Amino acid sequence: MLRDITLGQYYNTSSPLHEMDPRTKIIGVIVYMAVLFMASSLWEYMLAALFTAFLIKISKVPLGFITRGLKPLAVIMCFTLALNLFMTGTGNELFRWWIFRITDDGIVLAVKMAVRLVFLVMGTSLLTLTTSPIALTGGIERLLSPLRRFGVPSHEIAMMMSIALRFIPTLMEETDKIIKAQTSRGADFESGNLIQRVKAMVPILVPLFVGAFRRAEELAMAMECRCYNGGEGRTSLRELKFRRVDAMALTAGILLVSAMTALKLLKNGGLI
Amino acid sequence: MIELKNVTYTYNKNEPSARVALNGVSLTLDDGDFLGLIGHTGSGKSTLTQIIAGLLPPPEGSVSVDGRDYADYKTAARELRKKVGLVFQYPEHQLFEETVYRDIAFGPKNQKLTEDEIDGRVREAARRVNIGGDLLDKSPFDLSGGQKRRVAIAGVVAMKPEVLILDEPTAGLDPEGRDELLSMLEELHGDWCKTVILVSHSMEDIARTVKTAAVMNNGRLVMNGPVEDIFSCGDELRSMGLNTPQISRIVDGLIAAGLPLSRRIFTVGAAADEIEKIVRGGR
Repeated sequence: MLRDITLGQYYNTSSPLHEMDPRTKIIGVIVYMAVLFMASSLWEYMLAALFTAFLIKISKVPLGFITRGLKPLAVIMCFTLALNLFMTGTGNELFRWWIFRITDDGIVLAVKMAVRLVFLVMGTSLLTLTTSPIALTGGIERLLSPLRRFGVPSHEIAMMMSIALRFIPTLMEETDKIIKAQTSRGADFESGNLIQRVKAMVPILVPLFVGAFRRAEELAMAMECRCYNGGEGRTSLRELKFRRVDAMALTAGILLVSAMTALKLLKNGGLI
Repeated sequence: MIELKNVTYTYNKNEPSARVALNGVSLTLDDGDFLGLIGHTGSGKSTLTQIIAGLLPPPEGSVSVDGRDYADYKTAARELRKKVGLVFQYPEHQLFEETVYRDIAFGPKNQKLTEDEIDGRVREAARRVNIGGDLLDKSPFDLSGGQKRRVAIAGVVAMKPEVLILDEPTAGLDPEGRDELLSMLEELHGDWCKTVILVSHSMEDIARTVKTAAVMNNGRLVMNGPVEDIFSCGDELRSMGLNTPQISRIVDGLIAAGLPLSRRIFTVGAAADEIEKIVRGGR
């Protein structure tokens, strides 16, 4: 159950995506998201799907690993689906019951939203699956550093993120252990109504939070003991450099955006 | 009685990070056993205890409980969870209730006992782990480290499991706390819980507390038998990153220096008696 959460997990292998500069990947994800939200026609969605498939293929991360990240999102997905399905007022009415009415526009919109969400999660989880947390936060720090002048604490933000990411596996392990320990004491998390189930979470959540605070305190102490005092004058062991893969990624990005724009123009021109 | 036959368990099966934690382990746990489980970090001790406690997904191999074979581990696991109480490493990290009393009562409550029974269990468990009645209404988070550990153990003891497993219960305790805890286990065994398994790194703890022990190495059960026999294989233990109790090594040194001592001395008390005999006899 807990192993389904792939968010923030790094899949260690070597692939063009793994070699890429983290800055390229972060910007790439932003472009990817923008392109996803640009997509509206079937052809445009096909393009996005093709590109996503291509990324997954060259990342060498097993597909099962990526789709597993979708499971926890099932609830949000159903919610969005339902919302779009019932709340779209335009289009031809297909079905009506009490205050609910389903239109063809609603169905199309709901499916589009769901597909978009799936791609969004898959694409962004590729970022964390192919980028080690250290590289990721290093990239974020460098990307944000121009904003320092305006008082944005880029180093602190990056440090906070890297610590948060670093602790995901630890806290998951801890949760797993607490669940087992409380199960051994006869706790039941799988039966009963909603209220009983929420109540059953208390024996897990309280020790988890207590543990998280304990760890935070210990970590702060350990960092201070090693004279950590923020980003002032800090250098990095590994300097980030743009390489050939990054140039290729840039090309791919430009191609993707151009293709998407071309498809849009063709559609508007009535050519497809 | 719990019987494991040829049990193999793999973490993250079918993934690149797959790791075999148990490899063909067979172990019979008779009623009344007081077993020590030894092995260095990562040898599979914790996995083995969790399988005995019915807390892991089905392993390969077969498990039988009280002579009944279970075709599928899931039904066996339900039976095992009823019978076995597992105290995890650093159990004080699992405390959650507002008062010590309510935390200890969590297990018995889940067993659907009556109010009176729960009250009796809580007080008895607290008494057995040496937690005074005045502490029962305090918050478990206000106690000292050693007290928290004992409250957490009481939380499992109060369920009166037939089999009590403790994973490194003495880790991080001072010598006094360690002695107190081990004596407490000796009192619990046979009287309150039929069977006790003590998982430990500390050869001293094993030597003074249990009569039989099992040694794990790289997911395999490599030795199983009386403690004396196991500690007689010093070289083998050392090859697995373990060792004999300190006092045995001192005795070995004394023997090498010419003192006529027995090689089967594993506790400080026994060593003191033997040396005293020689010293008095020599006069």
